[in-house]
Amino acid sequence: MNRKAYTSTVVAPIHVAIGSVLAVLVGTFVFARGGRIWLVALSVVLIAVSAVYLSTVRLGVNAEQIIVSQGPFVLSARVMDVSSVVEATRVDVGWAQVFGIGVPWHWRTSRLTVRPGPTLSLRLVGGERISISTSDPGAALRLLDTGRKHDDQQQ
Amino acid sequence: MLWNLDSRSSSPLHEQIAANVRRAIADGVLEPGERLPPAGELAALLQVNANTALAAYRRLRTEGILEFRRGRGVRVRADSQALSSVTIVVRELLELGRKQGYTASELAQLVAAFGAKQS
Repeated sequence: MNRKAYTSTVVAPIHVAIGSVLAVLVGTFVFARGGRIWLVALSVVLIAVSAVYLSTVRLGVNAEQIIVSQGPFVLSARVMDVSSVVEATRVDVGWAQVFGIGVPWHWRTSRLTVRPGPTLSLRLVGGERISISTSDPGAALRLLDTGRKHDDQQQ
Repeated sequence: MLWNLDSRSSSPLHEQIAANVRRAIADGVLEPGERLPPAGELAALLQVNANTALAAYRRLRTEGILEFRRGRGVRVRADSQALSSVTIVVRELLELGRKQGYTASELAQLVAAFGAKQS
């Protein structure tokens, strides 16, 4: 029996760079305003952690489930059943679309795009749409198709 | 990267996971500094025990291909590509040698003798 899975971790260095600059600026501002040292440290740490969180997107796919998470932390992972995916496509997003500009509005959209380029786009049973930055959406789509065909055969 | 395990293979599952990583690095699919999924998450996706995935990661760390950093997960080491390619060739050599009746130490002597001739 073959067990196949696809995983990818996409890290956007630009988010980390912007976060670092912002952390230094805010830290300097708080210090200049007479803020206590713990307040300066807290603001710098909060911004740095947020930048790391927003810069990383992890995707894991096998024939049965999809694991999506923002940030490098294991606890933030969201697990979805392959049968809950109505439509899966590959899209190539531009810089503006990374930040949600030029993307058709939908009331239930989760955007996990951290850089322009290949992205996996999912539409779920409940109407939710999820876009996930990943290095090889084609490999993820092939595994999803295998899982959905298997589900259809069982039904 | 794409992971592929064959449960009917005679090779243990943790060795197959490690081989997937070595191959991906040698093929350029995994680049130096790239993060690998946490062992628990990989185990869930491959439907193996978490200790199996962890054993594979530990083995690759021992080989110098991966590095573990506290709070930053598992990453591919900067000098992993050359190491990974050499490891693959050494494994293939060991396998071929075993089929031909050579022990690991005899193969090592052969490699040393060839090395001495070439230098």
